[in-house]
Amino acid sequence: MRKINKIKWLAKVMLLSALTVCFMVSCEQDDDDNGNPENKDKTSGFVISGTKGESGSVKYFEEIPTGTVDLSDGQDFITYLPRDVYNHNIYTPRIDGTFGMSQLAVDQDGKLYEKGYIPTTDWISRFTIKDENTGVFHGNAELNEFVIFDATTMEITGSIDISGAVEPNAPEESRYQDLVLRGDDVFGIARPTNSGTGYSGFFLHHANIASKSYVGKLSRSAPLSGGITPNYEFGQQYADDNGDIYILDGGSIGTGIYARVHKITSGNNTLDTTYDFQPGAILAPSNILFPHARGFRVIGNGLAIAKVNKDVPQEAVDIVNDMPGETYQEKLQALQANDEKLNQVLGLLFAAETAVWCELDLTAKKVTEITGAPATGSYSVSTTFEHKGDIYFSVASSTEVAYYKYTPGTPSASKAFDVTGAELLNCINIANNN
Amino acid sequence: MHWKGLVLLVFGIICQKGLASTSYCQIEGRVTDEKGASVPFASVLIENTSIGTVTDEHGKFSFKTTKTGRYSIIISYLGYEIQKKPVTLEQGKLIQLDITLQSIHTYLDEVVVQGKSEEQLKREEPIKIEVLTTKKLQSQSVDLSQVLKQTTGVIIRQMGGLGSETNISLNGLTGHAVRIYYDGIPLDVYGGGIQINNLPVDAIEKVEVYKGVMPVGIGTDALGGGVNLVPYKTTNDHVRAAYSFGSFNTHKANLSGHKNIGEKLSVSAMGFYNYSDNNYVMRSIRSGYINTLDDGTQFLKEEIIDAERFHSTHSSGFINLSARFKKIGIADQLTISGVFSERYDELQHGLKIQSIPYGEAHGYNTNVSTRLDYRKTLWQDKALIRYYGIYAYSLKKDRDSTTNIYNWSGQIIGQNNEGAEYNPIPTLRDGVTNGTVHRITANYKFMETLKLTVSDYYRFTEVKGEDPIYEARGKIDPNTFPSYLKRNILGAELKTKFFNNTITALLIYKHYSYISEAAQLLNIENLDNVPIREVTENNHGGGFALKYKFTPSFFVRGSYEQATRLPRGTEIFGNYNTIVPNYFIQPEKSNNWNVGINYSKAYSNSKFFSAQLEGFIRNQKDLIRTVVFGTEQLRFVNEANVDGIGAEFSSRFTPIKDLDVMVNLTKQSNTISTPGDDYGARVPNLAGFYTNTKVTYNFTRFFDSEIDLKFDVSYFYIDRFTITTNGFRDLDDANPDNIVPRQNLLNTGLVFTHPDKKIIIGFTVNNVLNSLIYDNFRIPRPGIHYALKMSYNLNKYE
Repeated sequence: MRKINKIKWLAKVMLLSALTVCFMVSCEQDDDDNGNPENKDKTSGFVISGTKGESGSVKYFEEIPTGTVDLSDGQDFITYLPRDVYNHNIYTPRIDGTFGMSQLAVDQDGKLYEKGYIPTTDWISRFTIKDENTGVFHGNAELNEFVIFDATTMEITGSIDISGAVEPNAPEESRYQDLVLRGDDVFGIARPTNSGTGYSGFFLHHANIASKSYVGKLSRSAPLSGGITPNYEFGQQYADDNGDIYILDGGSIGTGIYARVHKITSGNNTLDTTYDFQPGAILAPSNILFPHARGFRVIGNGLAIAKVNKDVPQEAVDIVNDMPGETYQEKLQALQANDEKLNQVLGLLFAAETAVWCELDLTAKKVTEITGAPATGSYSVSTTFEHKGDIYFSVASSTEVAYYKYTPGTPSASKAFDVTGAELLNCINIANNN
Repeated sequence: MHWKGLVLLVFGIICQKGLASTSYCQIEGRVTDEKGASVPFASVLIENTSIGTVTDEHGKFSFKTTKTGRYSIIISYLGYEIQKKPVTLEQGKLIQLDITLQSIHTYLDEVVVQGKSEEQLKREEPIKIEVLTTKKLQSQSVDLSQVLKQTTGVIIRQMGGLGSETNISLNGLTGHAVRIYYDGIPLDVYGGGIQINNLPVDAIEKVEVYKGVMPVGIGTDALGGGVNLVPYKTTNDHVRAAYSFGSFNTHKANLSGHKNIGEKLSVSAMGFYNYSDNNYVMRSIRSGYINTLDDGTQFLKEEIIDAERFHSTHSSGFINLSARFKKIGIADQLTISGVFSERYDELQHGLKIQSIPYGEAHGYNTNVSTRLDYRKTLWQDKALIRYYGIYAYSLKKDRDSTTNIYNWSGQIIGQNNEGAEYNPIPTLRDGVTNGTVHRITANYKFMETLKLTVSDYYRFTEVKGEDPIYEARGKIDPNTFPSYLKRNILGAELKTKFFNNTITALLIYKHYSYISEAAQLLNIENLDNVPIREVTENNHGGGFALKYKFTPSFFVRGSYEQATRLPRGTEIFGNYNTIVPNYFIQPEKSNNWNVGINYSKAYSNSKFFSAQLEGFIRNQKDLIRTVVFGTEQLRFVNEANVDGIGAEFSSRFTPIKDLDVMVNLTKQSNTISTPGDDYGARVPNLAGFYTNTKVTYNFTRFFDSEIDLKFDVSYFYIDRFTITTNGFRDLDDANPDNIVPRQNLLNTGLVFTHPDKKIIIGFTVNNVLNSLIYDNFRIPRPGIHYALKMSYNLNKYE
């Protein structure tokens, strides 16, 4: 009798234990579901995006892709124009198309989601992230302010009054091409105006985040920039290992003004007027009609990469040659004053595939064309990213859309992967801070 | 409960109203056939006069006369022997007649000929024409967009409430590809003063929807369809007034009248006035509010609220006066009319709902136009000449000049830097459009089975204006440079019938030409002499249609047309700001195929069944879209090709007396066929499947009273669709912000009709289920809302 009772007792104990274990496991799962979940967002991988019609199409890859990336079935967002990545989060204007900024992360399933956002009353044109608690943006809501925010909580933490920097007749909206960081210093690259008033040179507005104060203006009045403005694409880097800041001014169409690299030497708050580096003038000195460059990125070890326009379609040259004037400069001025002809020339230049990626030696002021990659449109996508020491750059031409890669110091590229299904925008390595 | 009591009280008063102390004789009754079934549309007249009426769908009639003495009442209907009833007319007398008509069978290849209305005949044309008569809806407070919703293949979307901007989608074509006409004239001639969602249904007799092929006598340049709103044109003396009020402080009033002055002259007037606050609640809207840090930094935060629209007021007024002369020697009919319209609109938001709405932007629109209509038959009615000419003047005022920033609670929460809410710069523009439109159409009937129609349409438009903002900023005002647009569309149509009218064939040719002139203002700050640029283009188009009638109840038809839409001025010349010119832009084109089968049969005068199944294919090319030009500007280019294919099914039947059922179904697929990354992607903002059903029941002599009661229920279903180009995505995986979810909408209506048909009261409840309904780009529509309408008709009397 006792034996049987023991067996029964043991069975009961085992059953009870099993039930208890099940209960505890279930509770633990409930705790995982209902309590603070462990953050399982991705900390590495690649987010590739393109535009389809009116929306963005985005896909995540654990490893660097090979072969062909098809973006046709990517995640769709009304707006996806990332400007920065920090601490594995991507920062972009609001993905639902409203005013403000979104902070995106990649979840454990490889899907992007909006982790946080900052709403504003007007467009945010430029922003940059200093560290996980500090970011700076400039928007149309408060034209004379740099706004400081916490890049993790997405809360506004302060502002810097930069009204002291404003020039008369300066552009009202989207005043800055980009915001450049150096420690607690932020430099806003002012956009030129068509009329020659306002910022008719190369201007930077300098503020300090720590003291929340405007510091002053940096400028270089001659030669002028102006005309070609956009230099705000994802992937641009400005600071080298020594703390020197290099900024590419895109040059001007039809004025003979080449794209130029400007330099702020480490520790200084002025532009180095002795630094004269015009990549287009070195690569193609005869190209004074469209001496444009963009996609600038400081790599390190005194090197940078940029896409430099090398040539001009003959049809555009013929139009200029037919303009009145004795000298080429006079013809260019006549072109500037003739809107229909200028429009015609612009259309040809925008469509021509005459730009090549080059490695720039910032110290020796040399330009080396990176072989192995095709020529592409000067205004086509010009984005870059870094992975395991290699630099990847975009190529979008009539025959292919792809990322090529090369090893700095060895200007010879090979194709990394093709992109189809959407008009290529960029690729972001979320392991890096940009 | 209280409103029910009020309505019954009103009825009681109405029912007490008799014929006492009247100076006329009332004649009423019912016409049936030998089987006892009602005979609708039978003519009932006092012999040798034009005094009388036609029977309604129940065979009933009622009219009055001041004549006294002995007369005969003549009752006639096609297919029946004419009846003559002697009566003695006396003042204050009620004469009740119940007439039974004896049918006459006219055998034509063993087919019994039955009378068909003009609308039915149009529906049986070789080209697809949907005709919606509004008579049964005039007792309800509905607008024409709701009428069109009941048609297959048509989607109407709005940007807000009454008077807001509308977009019609027809068989996959949308926007400018679908033309809207008012009495054969492009609606935009009236400068925006009238549009499809502010025209009262009382002012319109019928709506004609053309799909696939536009007849030369109406069509201009349309890519595959059009909607023609045909105003009421009665020849009887009458006065009609209607007033409705409803949710969101909506008031609609209209008045129309017609008077015959002798044999050769008649005058008519029609006017309406609409007003609505459009302050419906939109659920779960993000709204901003301002926070301030210790250092004075202000920033925006958002909260989710149910937001009541606070800046959406619409008001519009319209008056049309006309005089018609008949048989005056040079013309069989000559009509001179004048139109005046005015409207005011507040703008609450842009294309999409943001957390920052507009609080002050608004606009005015005034239109004055005159019209001349001429009609003359020649050569023993073998030829018919019709001409109309219009001069229209429109003044459009855009006002957008505030620095205030609002939230959805209507509070000012900050200041903007642009000085404007929806424009990139402030606008105080007064824009003037002067235009003239002419159409001459000639029909010649070679024989009963062969008819030729030639029609030429010419339109001239001048657009200019001024905006003091430019002068205040020291800039040249581009609006002061007028632009001109001249268009001419010549069409010819040959219609013939074969084999005892079993086959009907239609051949169409169209020639399009336009000349557009505008100032070349790419960089207006540097120009002393402004060059004028002219763009000229010529195009051809045409098509054919074929119909084969197996039996009087069953036919098949097919049609093809190469249609063309000419570019608008802005698409050629830009907007002098963000959009640069493209002088080489081409017209849009579409190859449209339609095929269908149609069955309809009246089993008796109270039982009817019809069903139509139509398929369509649309190959659209060179669709005009905006693309980025350079860094920050846009330009219109011929970029997109779209392939559309779809099928529509519609059926209407009356299974039992007084019960009417209507069902419509549309299934379509519209995909981008432009080579490139978007190839195969769905065209955004178009549903792939939608359906609607309407059931109407008439309670004749409701509860043995003298009142007729009509009850209807309408159900609409629209499948979910994307508002962006989602490519091949499964909608389940797509960003929900880009998807308009499935929508179910239920509307109901009650109509009470006094026996004398003079007074009608209608009560409508829309969105009975209070469902979440969306419009263009997910703009929320109202939840449940109501309207009560009272109409009074005073028919001809003498």
